[in-house]
Amino acid sequence: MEHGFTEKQWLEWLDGTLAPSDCARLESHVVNCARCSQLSADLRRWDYLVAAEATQLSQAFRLDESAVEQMLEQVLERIRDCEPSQMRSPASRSAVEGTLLLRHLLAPLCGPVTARNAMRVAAERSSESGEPIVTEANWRLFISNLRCTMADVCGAQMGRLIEQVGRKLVVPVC
Amino acid sequence: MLARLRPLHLWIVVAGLIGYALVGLLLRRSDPQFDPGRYMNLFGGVAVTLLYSVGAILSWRISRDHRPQSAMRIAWLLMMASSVAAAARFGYEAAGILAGWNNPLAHALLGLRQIPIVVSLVLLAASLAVMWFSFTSIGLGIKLRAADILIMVLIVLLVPPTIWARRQMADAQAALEFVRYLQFLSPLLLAIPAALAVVLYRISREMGGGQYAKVLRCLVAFLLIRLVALMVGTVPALDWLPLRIVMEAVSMSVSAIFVLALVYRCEMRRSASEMVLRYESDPAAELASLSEELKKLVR
Repeated sequence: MEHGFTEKQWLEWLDGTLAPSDCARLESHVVNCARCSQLSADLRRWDYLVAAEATQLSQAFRLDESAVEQMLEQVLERIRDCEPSQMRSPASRSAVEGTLLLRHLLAPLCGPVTARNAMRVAAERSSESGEPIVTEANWRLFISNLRCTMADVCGAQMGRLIEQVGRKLVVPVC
Repeated sequence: MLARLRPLHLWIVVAGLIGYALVGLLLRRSDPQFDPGRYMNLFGGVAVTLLYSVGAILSWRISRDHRPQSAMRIAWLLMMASSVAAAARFGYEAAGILAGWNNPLAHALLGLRQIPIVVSLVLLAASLAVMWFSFTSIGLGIKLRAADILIMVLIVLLVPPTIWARRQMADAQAALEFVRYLQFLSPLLLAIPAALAVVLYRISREMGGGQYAKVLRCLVAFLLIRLVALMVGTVPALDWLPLRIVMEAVSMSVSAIFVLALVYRCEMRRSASEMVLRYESDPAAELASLSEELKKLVR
């Protein structure tokens, strides 16, 4: 901690997620402190450079969605392998793993893209922000919305299958 | 009994109808007095009536797999109504042939078949449009490619020459005037579902595989092939008896392809039901095997 601000607070300020009272305190301090003023300017500059580099890289190496999902699955697998065995429960799955498994389950019936699109619609309906975000917290609502979406387009049996499997895939947090 | 219907049975029906047409060709070759029109329409009419009746029952069953008031339920109910109208048309035709009506000019009542034809085509177009609307709710069929639009334009372009050559059509000389007008509408009413078939084909491609895509591809084949068969039948330069018989056989066979699409849709429902039962009986083992499958795929 330096001048009353932690590294976490600096990063939150940069992301725009710092609490308004802390944000006002930090900004009034920056005006009066040459060192912190330099630090804030450096952080802004690095943030801009990293964002520009990320844009350039993402345009240079375009990946299709299935490749991204494969990599995501590999990363999750590695994380699991690193976890101490006593912490790992064979039945516990994250929401990301749950969506991957659901998609794999539905693909032979309705096609992978149909499953993906229906999941996106259900995820948008399940998050408060309207963004397609699925977490353990909104998993139950996501499954309920996915069941309705799929039942409308692909039939009630598909909806039943989602309900049946979805409830057992991820244990939602309270 | 219909629950036991499998795709193989429908392929046998397609082969049987084509084989029947080939026998007709051989009979014509050995006996120049042989009437291929009556031969094709009598048996073919009965077969196609049965196929559309089966199609109506299956469409009704599929509609019950969707929530009341959902767009897809309405689409399948419209499909059922269209199949009923098509079955009525072919049944009426077959009955007319049995009664000795073979000339629309001499037998005015034969021309009345144009009513179920128009009703069936309008309902079919409405069904496909509602189906398309339902798929757009999950982002499928929203963006069409340039090639799709080009094919749709080509289909629309086929309409004016067909209307121009409508004198070749069965009821162009019908005794009842309104029947001639209804006949006039046929090429346009066939082109609209065929144009919608292009959209369904795009949706089937966008799906990226799966049983549902197979259902849509069979519907596409049904809609496009019968349009081509009608066009070939009206071009005066192609008025060659063997070709006419083959096209007649193709027209009849497409109704089996329509039923094939419905059978694939029923199979999809059956697969989902079987999976539900499996996951009900041993969820842990099923989920573990699903995880393993996914891992193998990723590696």
